[in-house]
Amino acid sequence: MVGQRSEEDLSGPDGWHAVRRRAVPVVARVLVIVLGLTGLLVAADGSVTAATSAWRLLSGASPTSDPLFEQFERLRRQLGEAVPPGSRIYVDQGIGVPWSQRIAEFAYLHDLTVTHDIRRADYTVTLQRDTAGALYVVATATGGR
Amino acid sequence: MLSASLAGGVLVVAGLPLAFALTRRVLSAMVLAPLVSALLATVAVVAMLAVGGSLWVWLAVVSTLQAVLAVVLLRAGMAPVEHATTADALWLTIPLLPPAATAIGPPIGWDAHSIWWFHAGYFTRGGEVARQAMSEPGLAFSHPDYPPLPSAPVAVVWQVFGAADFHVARAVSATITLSAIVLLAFAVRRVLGFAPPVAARLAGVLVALATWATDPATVTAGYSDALWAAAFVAGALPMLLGQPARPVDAGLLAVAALSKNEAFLAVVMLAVLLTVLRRPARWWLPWLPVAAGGSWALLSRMVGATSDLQAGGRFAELLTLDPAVWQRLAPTVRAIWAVVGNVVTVAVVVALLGTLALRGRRRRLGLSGDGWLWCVAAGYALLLVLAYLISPHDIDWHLGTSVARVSLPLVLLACASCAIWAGVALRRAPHTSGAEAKAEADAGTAQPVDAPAGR
Repeated sequence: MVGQRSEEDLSGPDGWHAVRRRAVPVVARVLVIVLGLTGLLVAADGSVTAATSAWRLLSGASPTSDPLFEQFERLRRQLGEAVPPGSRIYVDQGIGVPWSQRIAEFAYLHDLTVTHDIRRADYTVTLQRDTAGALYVVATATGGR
Repeated sequence: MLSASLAGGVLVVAGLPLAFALTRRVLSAMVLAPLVSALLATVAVVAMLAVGGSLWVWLAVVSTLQAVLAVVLLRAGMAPVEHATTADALWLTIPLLPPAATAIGPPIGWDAHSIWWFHAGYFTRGGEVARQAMSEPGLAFSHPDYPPLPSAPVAVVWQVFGAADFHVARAVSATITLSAIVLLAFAVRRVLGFAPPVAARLAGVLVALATWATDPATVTAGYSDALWAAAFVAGALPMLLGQPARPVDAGLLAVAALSKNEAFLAVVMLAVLLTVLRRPARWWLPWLPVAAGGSWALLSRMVGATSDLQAGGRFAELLTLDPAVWQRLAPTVRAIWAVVGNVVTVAVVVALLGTLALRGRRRRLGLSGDGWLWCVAAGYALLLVLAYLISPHDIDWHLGTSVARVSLPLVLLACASCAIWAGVALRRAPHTSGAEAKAEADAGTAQPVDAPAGR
């Protein structure tokens, strides 16, 4: 019965309208699903990159430590040893902005505070390189207190 | 490694009472708990800065407040959150763990150190030292005006552990970020509640995975961009699509507003848009996060923190059409488009196709069109462009160091649009009256394959 009605629908101009009415939304739905999924998969590409990096870390192919981080930790420890707790320090920018930022950061982890005014500082802190090229902390008392 | 794992556990346990009271489901509460902890830690830090004293004192006060609030909410007899069964929680969490495992990498992210963990360091020192650091001109490089949420939980965990460890800091930052990303997956799952569960969960996971689309290396590295982008889209999505807003949605927007300055502006824009143009029943709900972010902006100025855009922003040059400012427009638009162009192009095609062919079905499924979602995306893109135009920094350096991260909300909004249209297309249209169906058929939007049997 249903089949007969379909054949009748297709026989005239109205039949083509019926087919179009049925086909267009189906095609639109399929396109929306396929394109929508495509957009999502394109965006998910970065997560594959991240998962691959994570696998390299977990499998030991990439180190979970880093020479830069070891440098950070070494300088942080030296700062704590070189300047007494409670001191106010002036960070010498001559060592380069990035490293002066690290010294300022580590100061607040060592019960120190930072000032931009060298006259108010108890110590001036700078970094120097040893013969092997490694950075080390140099703290000089300024008598500001 | 052990202390870093414990840090994640501390965040889950600390926020669990309130998270459970809000969700009434254990696994969902465990997902939400890190963000609840981060918000509570932020409240403690803000109170410490405003009133003074040590972080310990304010943590005790905030913990007591949490207990009281949790009891009140538990007695309120709320129903468990929808579409958050154990299967949902597992589906929406486990696929996100492989990319999130990058959190075990070395904690060397430059902005993480220079901004977020630096702030955490002075927050642990109490109100007086924190105020000194925020007002110190020599520390302006660390953006002391940036909101405290990404730093506050790091400070709290360092206090609890008794030592400042950067592996722990990275674990804390990654845990709260992952919490926001999983909640984004839950938000998409909830919006697609009408779709087959497997499809809705898949859509949620794929949108959440898009968090790694623009700058995969920074998502779990201690930066705040992925955190606020995921929280913002998760909180905004139900409101933009005409669904009833819940307290958790407002909480997610508060997380965003308290995580970065551009996020606060995005939340303000959302609140204005919803209130003026959309007028939902609970129009005031998105204004609570605005109040939270605004309070921080006010407090940080009172403390003496400076903003680089406020201090060196070229607003006057922008208005007087100074070429020095406007010649930054082309490289800015090009750089943003290079990051988001592929995904946004596909999403726009999907949205146009969906609007032409499926808008009736979408309406019957209880979702409004996604014009509001695209309005928010366009508004945020405009904010970004303006920020780069007036920035005092060299444009190439500024774009090179940030455009991939800060463009993420555009990708997430585009992906949410794709996922929702695909969900609408998958679902058979619900029953409509004969007259309505005929009208839609005549308008070329009828769905005969889905038509009810009586048609």
